[in-house]
Amino acid sequence: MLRFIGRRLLESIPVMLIIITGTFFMQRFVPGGPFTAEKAVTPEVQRNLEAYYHLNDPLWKQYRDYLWDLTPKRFHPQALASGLDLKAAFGIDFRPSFKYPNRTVNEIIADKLPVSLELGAWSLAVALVFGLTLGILAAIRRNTWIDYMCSSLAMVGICVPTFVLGPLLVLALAIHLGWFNASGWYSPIDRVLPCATLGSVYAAYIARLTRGGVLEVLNQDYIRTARAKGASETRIILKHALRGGLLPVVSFLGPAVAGILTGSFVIETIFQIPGLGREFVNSAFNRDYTLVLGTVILYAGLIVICNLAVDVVQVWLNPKLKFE
Amino acid sequence: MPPGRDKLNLRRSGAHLGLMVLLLLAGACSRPESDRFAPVPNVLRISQRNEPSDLDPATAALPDEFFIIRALSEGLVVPVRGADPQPAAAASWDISADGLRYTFHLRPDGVWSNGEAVTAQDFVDSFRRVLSPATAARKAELFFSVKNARAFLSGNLKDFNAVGFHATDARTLIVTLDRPSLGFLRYAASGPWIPVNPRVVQREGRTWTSPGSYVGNGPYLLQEWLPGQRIIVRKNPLYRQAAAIHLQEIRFIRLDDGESEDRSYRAGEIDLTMGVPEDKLRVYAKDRPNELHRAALLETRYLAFNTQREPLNDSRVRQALSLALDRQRLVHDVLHGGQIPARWILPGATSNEHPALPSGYDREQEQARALLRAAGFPNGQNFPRLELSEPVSWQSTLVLEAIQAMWKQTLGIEMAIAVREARVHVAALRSGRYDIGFITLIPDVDDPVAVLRDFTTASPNNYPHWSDRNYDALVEQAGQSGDPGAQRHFLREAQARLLDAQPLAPLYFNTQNWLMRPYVHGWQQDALWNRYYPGLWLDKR
Amino acid sequence: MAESQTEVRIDPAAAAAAEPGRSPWIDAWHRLRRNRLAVAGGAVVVVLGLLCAIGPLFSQSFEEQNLDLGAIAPNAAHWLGTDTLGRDLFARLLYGGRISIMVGLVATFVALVIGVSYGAIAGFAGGKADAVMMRIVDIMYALPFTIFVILLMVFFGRNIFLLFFAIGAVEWLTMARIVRGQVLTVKRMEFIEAARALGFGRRRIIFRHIIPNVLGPIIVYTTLTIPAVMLLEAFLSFLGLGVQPPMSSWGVLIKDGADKMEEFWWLLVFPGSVFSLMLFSLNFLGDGLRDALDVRAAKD
Repeated sequence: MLRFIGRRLLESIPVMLIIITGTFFMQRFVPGGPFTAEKAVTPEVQRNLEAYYHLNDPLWKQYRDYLWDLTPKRFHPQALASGLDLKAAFGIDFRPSFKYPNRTVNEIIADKLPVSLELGAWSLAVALVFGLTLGILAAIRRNTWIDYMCSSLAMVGICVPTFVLGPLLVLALAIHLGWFNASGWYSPIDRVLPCATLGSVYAAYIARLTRGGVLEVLNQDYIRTARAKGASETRIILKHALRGGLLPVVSFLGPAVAGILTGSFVIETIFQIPGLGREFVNSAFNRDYTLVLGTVILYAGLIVICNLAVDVVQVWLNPKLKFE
Repeated sequence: MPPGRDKLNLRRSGAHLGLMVLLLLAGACSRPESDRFAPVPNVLRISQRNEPSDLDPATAALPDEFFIIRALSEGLVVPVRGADPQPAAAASWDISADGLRYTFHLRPDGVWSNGEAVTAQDFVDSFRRVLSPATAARKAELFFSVKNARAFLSGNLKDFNAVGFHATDARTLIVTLDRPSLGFLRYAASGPWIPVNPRVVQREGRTWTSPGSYVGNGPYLLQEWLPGQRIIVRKNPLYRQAAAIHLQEIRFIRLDDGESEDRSYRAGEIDLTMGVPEDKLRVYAKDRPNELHRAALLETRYLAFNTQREPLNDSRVRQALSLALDRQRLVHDVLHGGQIPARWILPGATSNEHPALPSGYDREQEQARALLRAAGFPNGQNFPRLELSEPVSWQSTLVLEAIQAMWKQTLGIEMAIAVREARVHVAALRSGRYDIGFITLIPDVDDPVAVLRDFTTASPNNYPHWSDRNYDALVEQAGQSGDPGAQRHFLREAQARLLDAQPLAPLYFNTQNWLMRPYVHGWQQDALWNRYYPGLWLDKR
Repeated sequence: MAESQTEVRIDPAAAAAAEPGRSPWIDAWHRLRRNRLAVAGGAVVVVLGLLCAIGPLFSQSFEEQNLDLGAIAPNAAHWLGTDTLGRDLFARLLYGGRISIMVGLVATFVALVIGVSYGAIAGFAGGKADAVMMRIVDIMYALPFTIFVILLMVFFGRNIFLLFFAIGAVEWLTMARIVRGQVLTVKRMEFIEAARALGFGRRRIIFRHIIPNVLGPIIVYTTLTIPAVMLLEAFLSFLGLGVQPPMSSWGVLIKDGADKMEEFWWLLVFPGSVFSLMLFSLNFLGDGLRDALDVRAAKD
């Protein structure tokens, strides 16, 4: 397995390089720049801005300089302790943001990533607890009212979009009842509404995929054997069916986890959460070249790791598979 | 499948669908909500709709950044709604006879928040910093009336002593202009003219704007800055008027969009919003009349016609399109925000007369149809399907849909609406790749000459790509005249030419609607979003 | 001795006629028909589809404004009320449904075809080919979608087909991944070994043996993809790539209604209910399909 993991990490280097290059050039072809506004700046100011940000260098030179800034140049991991300073630790410089020029992309991501991680982790926990439970219940009591109830409840997450569910919850629970704050991310109780809203979507996916997956497995011969041998239904579900049933869920969760951990634009806007989700979208609108690249690199890194984890888990779930 | 289980559970499925509908309806019911606003004593919570890029007055570009900067520092003078700028860091000033020299006398009690006295040299150094090419200040053009400022900014002039700023002693600052400028004080009251403490900037570098190191000469100190969440400023005990400042603390709470802001206000988490969602305007006017406020803004929204393209190169077509718009209806039935219909480009808040406007929409419709017929498109036949381009935003879409319908109904022409991402829209307009575009015009300073200058031939803001030498000359003369009467004359002539040629169709002058708790008093914000905080106080509950 | 024995003679022809061999697809169809909930779901989908397809021919105009009226609650003249520009909501729902259903079905179908083939081939091939194919998927996943969409609009103009392309280009990725995961499991099963031993070509094995056996999760994920596609379309319309005003779609109507839900509840409730109804029906239909195609379930 270690060889498998090692090989995958090596494969990820050309992947990241292609992603970085693609994003870098894609951005530059989009009309409008970081300083495009309805009120134009005078030519002198424009020149000064371009000089400050090296925007008038030839494109290949900007690309080359950026890549050089990104390559690791030293190895002082102890520097990571103080605020995830990648520049001091490894010489990786993500450069200042265009929109927030006195903050580096590194700082911005280091500030916002933990928030998104927390939001994502709790939402995922909610989604897994509710999704798995509802899905399994629906599968084992197929075509009974329990099935319909669980399936319908799970569907709420899909049928009611987050930009409807979020404000609804705020209206009902924060404004009318006053149990929660309408927005903000200050105290632990502020986590509840956003995570419930975001979790509901993934709970729906997980429930449906689990139901399907467990149903597939429940009809297999080896389940039949286990039943014939007298194993209790609970043991059958938890020990045998779940393993196979979770396969489609795990396949789906791989990139989904990368997405959920990097925040959700809609949730962060509704509840005013200082996470990365908004930056993903806003940095594109702001033409904040460095921040876009920083967030894309982060996202790509997470995807690589999550897919790797998914492949490892898949082998564990299904012993017939091997690491190829 | 066992036969018994397979029944059609209509009731159950119906119940689950009903669950969905109930959920949707639940939010829709508007019951009176619990009155949870407990004003925090002497703390004002304001909604902040855009995150400041930075709090450095030299490099800031958006009004949102100056909201906070103006709490932390003050310039020579401060802008006031409907009047001339008032003294702030400068106690008084003299203007030379030829209008070229302004001598500012700084207050003796002006002091930085770190205890140092505010000197005239501090101002000179601040201005030098703004005008240095290396600073890449965005709004440096607000200094262009000062002698040689532009040359220094472009890098052609290396010696700042040649620029028209001189500190003759610690309390006297002389500003020399290169030609008389009637609105100069308004420029001196603008954001980039707010000084910074040169020594602090020198010492701290780029990060001088963080809470620990920010030094300003204003009523408040920067206490906390949580990006994306809130900025807190607290009272500056050293401020020259500290005794008169009632608020201990102001919190700027970040809220991304109008809906979240509205919800936060109703939950009692903020005291003041920056806007009101459009569909709630009438409800609040009825239910919360003492909380809903409205003020005119120096903001013009207009449609630019690309005069380089057929058939928009024909001024009759443009006039027809403009006359066919029922602006009154747009403002009353679509926007509901008390906006003011506009026929001309300069908002009424500027002290200038306006050309008389024709009245009676029915007559205008007739005129429009006649003009279109004269231009060769009777009843809109053969009129090409043009694109009406707008940046992404829900409010402007409604306006444009209404306009689309008006043109169809009155002139019989079909228009397509092209929603574009904001910067793509601006880039397209600037490069002339559009037919008709929706623009919002907000001047930096209340200077009508600057507004009209946008439509001169060389201006980068000339989206209609229209060129009229006479117009250029008139605007130039308006800019150079030292006599208010003469300036008014030239401005009126220039506007008349603009309206005649109609390279654009002004739609309306925008207003700000906002919610404010009844216990907030002394709120001052002018038509260009410049705020003045020292007058604020809260009624104790 | 032998005369008392009854002779049992089996007529091969009669035996064959009594129990004709049925293809598994016909079996599945019969099972599906018996599942009343799935049939109901399918019926609702068809009805909604027909309503949106031909309803607009008989309904009021969706773009005719009545600024004097503004937004009013459901009444006799406007069954579902009007929006803030006085346009009939019922008509807008019908026209919007055309867009949403078309986008939902077509984009999902495109994503389905590409995703399933790609994932099945990758999973079956294994080894280096699988690694390369999956890394390509990773790359496409990580590239920023907003910028990609803006670029599409800038270079190719505003075209409804571009919408399908943009959505399809994104949704097939997860489908491919899920299919690959399933295929990895299935390809080790004995019946595939048997097929290989029998000398069937790879293409035949993939498309006639493997894919039918992984259909379950595919169907379930497809029913999940359709709503995601409809909401993605709303986001793209917001960016300017999707439908242009005055045309609308369910997603856009819901977003508009969500902003105004307290004052004008009908602007949210009706589009939201129709949207949910469609999804529920697709859901039950999907479940029914999944159950019907599940070969092993029939053994009970």
